[in-house]
Amino acid sequence: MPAILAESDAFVDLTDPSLDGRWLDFKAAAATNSDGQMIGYGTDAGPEGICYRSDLFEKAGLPTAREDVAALMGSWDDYFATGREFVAAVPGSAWYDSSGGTAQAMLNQVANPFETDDGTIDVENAGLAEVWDAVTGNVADGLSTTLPQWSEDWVASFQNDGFATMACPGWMLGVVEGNAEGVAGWDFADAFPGGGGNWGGSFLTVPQQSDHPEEAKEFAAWITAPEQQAKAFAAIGAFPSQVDALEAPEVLEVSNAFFNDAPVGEILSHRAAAITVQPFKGPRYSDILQAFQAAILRVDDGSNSPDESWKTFLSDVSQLS
Amino acid sequence: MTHRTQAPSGDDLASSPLAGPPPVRVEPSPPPASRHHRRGRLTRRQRLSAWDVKLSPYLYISPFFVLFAVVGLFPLAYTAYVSVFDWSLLGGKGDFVGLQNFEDVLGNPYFLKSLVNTISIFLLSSIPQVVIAVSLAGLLDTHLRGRTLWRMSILLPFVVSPVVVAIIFGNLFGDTYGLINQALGYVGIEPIQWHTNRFASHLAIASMVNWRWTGYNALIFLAAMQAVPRDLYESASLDGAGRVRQFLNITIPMIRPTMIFVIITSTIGGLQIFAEPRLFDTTLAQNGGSDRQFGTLTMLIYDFGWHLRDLGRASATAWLLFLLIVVIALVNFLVSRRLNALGGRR
Repeated sequence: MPAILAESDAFVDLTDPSLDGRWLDFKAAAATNSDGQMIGYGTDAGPEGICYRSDLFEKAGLPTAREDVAALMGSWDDYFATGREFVAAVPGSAWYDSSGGTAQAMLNQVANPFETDDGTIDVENAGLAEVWDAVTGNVADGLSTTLPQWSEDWVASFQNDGFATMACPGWMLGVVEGNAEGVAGWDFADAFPGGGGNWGGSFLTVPQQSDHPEEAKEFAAWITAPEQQAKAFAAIGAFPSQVDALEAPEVLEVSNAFFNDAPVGEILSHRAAAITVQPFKGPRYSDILQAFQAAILRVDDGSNSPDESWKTFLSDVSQLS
Repeated sequence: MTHRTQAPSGDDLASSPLAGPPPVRVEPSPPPASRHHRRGRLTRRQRLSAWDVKLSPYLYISPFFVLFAVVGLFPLAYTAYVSVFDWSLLGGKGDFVGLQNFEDVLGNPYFLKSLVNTISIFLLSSIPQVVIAVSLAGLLDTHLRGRTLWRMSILLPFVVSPVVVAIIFGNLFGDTYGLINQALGYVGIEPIQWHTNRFASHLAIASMVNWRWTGYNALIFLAAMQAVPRDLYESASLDGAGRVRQFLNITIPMIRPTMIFVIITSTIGGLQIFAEPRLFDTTLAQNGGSDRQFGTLTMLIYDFGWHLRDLGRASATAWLLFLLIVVIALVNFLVSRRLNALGGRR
């Protein structure tokens, strides 16, 4: 979306005063360019909770009930400390699914991860350094599976007790359920280290080439209305980004049998309300993020030391401008 | 005689029963002077027919060249045009920047790495592929029971889409839970980091390419081998040459033109390799491994164009790859011409 905002000229201005307040603030902001034009209508959002394996928690002597687990994860430091306890007790399993996924979850709480508010690239900042040090430091402690998220090995690790927890935006629940088919013990805690965070979610835009921009805009407005998005959540689990949908009964009543009947609709509504920070995403956000994820992976797979990998990352970023 | 002047074509001259000619007049080619005279008086239909003879052959082969101009030459020229501009994927054409894009690409640390990877994967795939394909074809060129079945089945891998191949091999070459590493684990060998170790990743990708193309090339070699005159083998056997000797000294020299064809096509294909390394990446957000261990030149083009949305640099890279292929094809051509000359002397 940031790259699309940078090319606003190629898209129809969808600003419509009657839709003010339809979306959560961070969602509307992400679709609005510096001239105040709304270029996209938000569909879903990705408020994050923590998915965890209660059976592995039990094996490690950790509490297993949703409320007790939530209490262990107030801050990232607490989360990692619990993880060190866990990996000491259950050798062979990691604490979280991937360094990349955890880094993404932490980045979602940094106000200016890669760029300053005017869009200038700045990757040597304290917020990013904190994420980098935590994630690469945890590799040596065995907290991470060190697998690239979405790889075949990562998918296979769901069937092999590869890890105990992972950062779960709403849309991830379906991914976990699919990958972990037949594995009992998954649950979903109403907690997220460091507060709330949004991961992902989509927008609908109308390109300038469109022969029917008015009709397209009308359709986009209809399909992103709270009523439709609440139904979409009940049907496929894409959590709505519309304020009114958070209170809709279709959303609040949804529970998930695979996750031990967790009331996922209610939990995700809480998690959405807890989101306070939306990272600034300039035009180069996705490109830098990709380089950053590759840098983490170089440490994961042992091809670089953290220092070497950081230097390559800086060189990659310098190629972008 | 009046009839002859009205229809002065060569056929009528030669065959007219009215002429009652002495034998000397019936010669097939009339004297030059009279031919000249007649050309000046061709009818429109005759002129058309003459054009027909001259132009039709070119017309018949033109669809290829027209198509080539549209889908080959035009993109080539247009890519050259794009490569000298600042050109964004979404925003389109920007300022003219001259050769800046080429400088940027050549100065990019990943260009050299991708070039080395491309050549390494190409060598690891092409050489074993040709050797195995020739040997397979040699084995199939014998009186096997049910040979059509054998001959058809080596083509099976070629029928499978490269994407499917990549998914299957992705499972084989998984670093942690992959089939090969698990099998190695049973015999006590340390797992191989297929996606991290540069050489191992090249081997894995080359094995995908070989799996797919060896059978195809073997069939081409087999077709060439069947055209080798059998009496050569008979005389060789009479002279006491064994099967291996016959293969090396008769079969291989006789199929040399086919070998050159296969080597050139696999060179061009090998240098443009994309689907296999692209899909060997564990996630599509990467680009040839965490440290570009197996990123190729076409993947670099993709990276510039579709990740970084910079079509100018992507086009510049595409042209550099094109020039590289031209250079290697020229070397191929010179070497093979020399080989052919050697063959002729033999």
